[in-house]
Formats: sequence, structure tokens, C-alpha cells
Amino acid sequence: MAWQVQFRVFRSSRGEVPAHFDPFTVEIKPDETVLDGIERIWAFQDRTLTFRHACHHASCGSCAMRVNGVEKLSCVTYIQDVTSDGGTLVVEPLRNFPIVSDLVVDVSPMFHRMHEVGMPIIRSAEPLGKPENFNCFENCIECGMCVSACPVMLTSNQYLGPAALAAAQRTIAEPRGVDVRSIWQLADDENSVWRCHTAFECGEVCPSNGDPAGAIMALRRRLILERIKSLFGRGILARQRGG
Amino acid sequence: MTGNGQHNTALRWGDSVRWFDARRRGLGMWAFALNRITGVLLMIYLLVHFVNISVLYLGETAWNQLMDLFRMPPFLIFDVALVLVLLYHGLNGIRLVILALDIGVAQQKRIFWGLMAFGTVVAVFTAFGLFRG
Ligand code: SF4
Repeated sequence: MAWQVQFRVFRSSRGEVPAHFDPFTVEIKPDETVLDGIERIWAFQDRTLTFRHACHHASCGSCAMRVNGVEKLSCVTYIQDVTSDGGTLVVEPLRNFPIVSDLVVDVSPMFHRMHEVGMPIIRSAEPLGKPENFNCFENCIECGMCVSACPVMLTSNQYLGPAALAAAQRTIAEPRGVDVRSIWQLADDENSVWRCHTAFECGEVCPSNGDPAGAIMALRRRLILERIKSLFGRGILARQRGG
Repeated sequence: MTGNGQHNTALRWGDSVRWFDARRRGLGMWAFALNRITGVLLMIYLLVHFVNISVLYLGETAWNQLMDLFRMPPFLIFDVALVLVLLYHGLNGIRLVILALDIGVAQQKRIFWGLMAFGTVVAVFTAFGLFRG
């Protein structure tokens, strides 16, 4: 049986339309998804609503948004898990990215940062060497949800962010031909590893069961060890300082 | 947005209020928000404490009167609250140092609850000691 759900959808268009919420009443089954509801709004109620979606099975990351304040992949978020019959659903774009229109944000800042750190795209099926090196981060779908959930990114847009830092850790751990010197430098920057305040919200929302916070802590330990080594004129940081 | 991966939206200091919004978030976010709140409270306490000890300039009688006031039950409740704030901030700080060394990251929630259980025991004993005089 279909439920009646009140969607409150964030609307804005590059500053032309002042940000506000539009209400839409949607008949939807509890085992349908939030994305199904949004598509129904677009199809039958408001063709101007803009949102991103592609794969519909949690592998592209493009439908990431905030549902009732928490980052979700709307294609795999079931109505029954986030509201009830007669209930309300507040749908907003990801935080910490520039808003393009309605639920669409510009995720390119994160991609630029991922590029800077070598953008390791390695699938879990690939061999990873020692088991302790294994970290689900290889399955990162670059959805940006960790960037949105991170409280530090709310007030520091210079911060490299969880996805890029986890990628940096991955590249340093297993460079696969990438020159990691600049990545060490980037990781040791004041807006990098040291900026994280260990709220662990990145890992809470990651749809790939990745562990960006864990990767950041691992990178921190590497950097602490390198800093100790550099006191004795050894290690990669000392070599970098010496040119 | 610029080509170097940095947002060109201006930094909004008002967003720092959202540090404290942990609704529907995980334990780590609650711990983070509480750490900030207790940090601010300790800062305020420190300033109040400076004012209190400056009463010493007014002489021994004034100081003794203030101490008598502080031994009254409403102020003892304040002392217990202060101990709770101190314990939370200190113990969570220890957790953060441990995690920053990449120790027990996968167990961060258990470490949190373990330290909080320890803090609760210490707080109960402290409260008991304070009220017993
Ligand atoms: S680490 Fe997880 S949450 Fe962050 S971009 Fe990758 S898949 Fe998304």
C-alpha cells in the first residue's frame, strides 16, 4: 500500500532564486526509494526541479544528498527507513560544496583535490599486498558525502577533506608509480591531516563502508614517524627540506 | 569554484554554530560537539575563577566569606558539574590523542564508552566526597 509523504525540497538556483523549501505531497510505497519520490515530483509536479542521478544502484555516487539532515545515496535509501506514512522528508543538497541548482552541487573541488593526491582508483578485487593494508577506501565512489558530513569543512574550505586525505594515504601506502613527494608535502600542510578533529562522521555516512577517518589517522602516524626521523636528518621530510 | 580545488564561496563564521548540531549523527560527532561545548565552558570557568581569586585583594575576611558561600549546597552542585565537564573534556582528549596515533581507531566507540564509564565512577566518588565535606 502506498504511503503519503510530504517532501520538503530545497530550492535555489545560483543565487538567482533565494534559497527556500518547496512542499510536495507524494504517494509512494515504503519500499521505494527517496530518489523514486524525487523523480515522481519531477515527472508529475515540477519539471524545473534539478537533481543528479545515473546508476540507481549505489555505484556512481551522483544522487548523494541530505535526507532529514543526513547524507544519503538517495537511490538506495528506502522511504520506510527515513519516514513514516503521513511523515515528512526534508531533502537538501550536500553541504560544503557550491550549490549549482536545487539539489545539484558542484563536486569538482573534491575531484581537483583527489587529482592532486594521485586519485587512486583501485578496486577491491585487485591484490593489495599485506592484509593490514586493506582498507575499503579502494571502493570510494567519489560521492562527496564524507566532505558534506565533515564538521571541520563547515568552517574551513581550505581543508583538504576526508576523501582526498584518504586517497593521499592510499597513494602513499601503495604509490603504483606515482611520485609521492608532493603528496607528503600536501599531507603535512596545516590544512591537511592536522586539521581533522576526529568526529568520524565521514565514515558514518560513507556508502562504500570506507573509512576516511581511519585513513587520516594512519597518515597522521606516518607523518609523526617521519617528523621524528627528520629530527635525525633522516626520512622523506628531511630529504624534502634539504631539497 | 576555482580550478585549484578550492571553493570560492566565502567562509561563513555562522557555520561554526553547526559544529554543535549532532542531531541524527554518529557517536563521534556527539563526542566532537560535546568536546567543543565543554571547552568553551572551561574557558568561561577559568575567567570566573580569575575573578574569584582576585577577591584575595579585598582581604582575609572577604575571602573567608566567599569560601563559606562556596561551601553551600548550590555551589557544591556547581562543583560537581565542573568535575563532570573537566572529566569529559580530559578523558575525551586522551581518546583523541590515542586515536591520533592511529591506535584503536576501529574501536573508537568502545574507547569512548570505556573512558566515560571510568569518568562516571570518578565523578560519583568526587560528588560523594564533596557533599560529605
Ligand atoms: S570516501 Fe566514502 S563518502 Fe567519501 S567520497 Fe568516497 S565513497 Fe563517498
